[in-house]
Amino acid sequence: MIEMEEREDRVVLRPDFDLVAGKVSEIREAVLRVARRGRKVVLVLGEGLMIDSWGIGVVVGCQKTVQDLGGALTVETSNPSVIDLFELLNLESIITPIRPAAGK
Amino acid sequence: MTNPKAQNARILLVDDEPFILEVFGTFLEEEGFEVVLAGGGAEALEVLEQSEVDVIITDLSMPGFDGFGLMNAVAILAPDTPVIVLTGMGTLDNAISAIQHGAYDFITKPVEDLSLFLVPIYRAVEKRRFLKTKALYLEQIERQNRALFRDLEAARRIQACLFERTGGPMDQWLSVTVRYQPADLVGGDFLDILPVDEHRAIFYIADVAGHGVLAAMVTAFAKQTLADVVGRVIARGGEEPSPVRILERLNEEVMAQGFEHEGIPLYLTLFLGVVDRTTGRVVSANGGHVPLPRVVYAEGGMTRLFIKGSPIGLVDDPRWEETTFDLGPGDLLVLGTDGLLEAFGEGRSSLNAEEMDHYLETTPDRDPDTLANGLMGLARNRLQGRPQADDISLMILSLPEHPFPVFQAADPRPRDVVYRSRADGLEMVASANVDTVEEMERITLDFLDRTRVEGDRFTVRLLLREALLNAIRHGAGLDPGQKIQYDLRVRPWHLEMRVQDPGPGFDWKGALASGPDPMAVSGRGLTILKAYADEVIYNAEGNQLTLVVRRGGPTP
Repeated sequence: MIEMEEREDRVVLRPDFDLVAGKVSEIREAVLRVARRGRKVVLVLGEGLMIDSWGIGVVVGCQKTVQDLGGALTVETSNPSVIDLFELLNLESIITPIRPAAGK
Repeated sequence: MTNPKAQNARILLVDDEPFILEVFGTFLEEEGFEVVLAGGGAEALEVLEQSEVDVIITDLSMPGFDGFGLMNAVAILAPDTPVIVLTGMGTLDNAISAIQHGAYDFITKPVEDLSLFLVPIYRAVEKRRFLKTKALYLEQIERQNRALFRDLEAARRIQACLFERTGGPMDQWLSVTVRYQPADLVGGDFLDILPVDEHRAIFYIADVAGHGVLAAMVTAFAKQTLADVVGRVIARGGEEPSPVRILERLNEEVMAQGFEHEGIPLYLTLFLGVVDRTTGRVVSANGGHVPLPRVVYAEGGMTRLFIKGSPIGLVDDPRWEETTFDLGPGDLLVLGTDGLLEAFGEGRSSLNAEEMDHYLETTPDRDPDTLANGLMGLARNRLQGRPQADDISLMILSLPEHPFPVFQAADPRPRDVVYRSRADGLEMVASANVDTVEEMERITLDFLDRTRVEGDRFTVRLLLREALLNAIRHGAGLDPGQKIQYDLRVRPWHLEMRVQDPGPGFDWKGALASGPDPMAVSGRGLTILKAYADEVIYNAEGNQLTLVVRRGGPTP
């Protein structure tokens, strides 16, 4: 399931599953649906959720399409492994590290 | 006039009453059906054994082989053929029983309105046509599946070929251990080692994102392109084979193809390095490959090399940086693909495979085969029956011998000395003694030429000559079969030599302290080295001596 939250100038998408091969087409469709409405997209990868090489491909592919549509896509996560991975791949511009929610 | 819906439908009418066969048979033929008549169950069975029918209409009560027996036989012989039973009024229980036995429908006799008689027959014909079409589709799908399976098997075999290494002179000096465990689907892992020259080789390990035939095709393209790119770089000569330049050119080729699947770019990750056997130095670049390379040290411990870099064929503004690290004798460079991490990460990707690192750090056995088997076994255990989603590939590289040869004094009695470079199979035996300095020099230079030493040749020559000299001198005090061993390591700015002398020993400290007389036999080489080098560090313990000679460059 993907939770969707409308904010002022953007739409936040929160999938409750890992961004890995076999599960990512749903994400791509959701991102593009929002982007076609001309909205900015924030993809939140929740704590404990992971991303694999196929997921990275989807995120970068989506980012290109969203930019072509005049929008922007960023990924927010507090997962240090995911942050490290994006940094390792020189994809820091896509990722926004966030602090884990209080109490977690 | 015949009904078009009845065309090409063949009906088997079974009844022991000739009157029924004649009336219904004629009516069905006039409707347009092709009708085959049978006077009982046994006769009907003969028809079915010889040809196919679309619908069977049968009486239930017949002498001998009755309608129920026929239905049982049809269930085995022609299970997709609907059976309609004819039953007399007042025998409804029979009709219900027939339905329970698998009859498609029933018609009660006598039939008042023949047109109503047709309704269940047309329905049965439609069902039969549907089942035939479905069976045809299923057969077609099965045929296609078989063809696809054969193609996948072929693709898997082709993919296995991608693990066949090119081979070359480096096979003489570079130890390569490869393990590959393919996933259920064809995947995208590949690796190779390509010779640059006599003492350098390019190695890489790569993984195309995703699985299946598409990934396999990109894999084949990437491997061929990479071989071409590396080939062009090497053929150019004079130009240092730069990992970053190779990644740049490969990226250009892959980006130009624009591989994608439903808007998702089909990119690859790659770790590539150039290893130099004379120095143990590795110059590398990382094209976004995980897991990160690990160096497992011969003396114990491990380092994860955090080398950043963009994947190949993914972004418009890729960045790579050249990173240099050293491989000491017996150190292991462990490279894998992310299938390995997924195995350890319970089906998830993860940058930190702590368990894998713990194994690499703590396993006392530094033999590459043992380590590779251990890692693969651990990965298989971690999968615990889960389907393996990705290929698991592992490559361990090492310079098992010292980058530069190990020298051994042979049986000292004839005062022969063996210069042996196990790395390239070169072996020289020379008869010499301390008085024939020219001969000693000739042997040393000849050996240097043949092992193609680069770098600080003069320092190496001094050390070689000193090794020879000492071997001859010490040989006189050795028992038969005892050998003095000189291990020499050449680094860009310094040399390391370790001497193991099982003989009566040598007072190295005393020799060096005896004075700077370059002609003094004791410590002569050390004295010369001290005068020549920026720094000479030596440590003598019993029969062992460690010597480090630095000339130029930073302080080690």
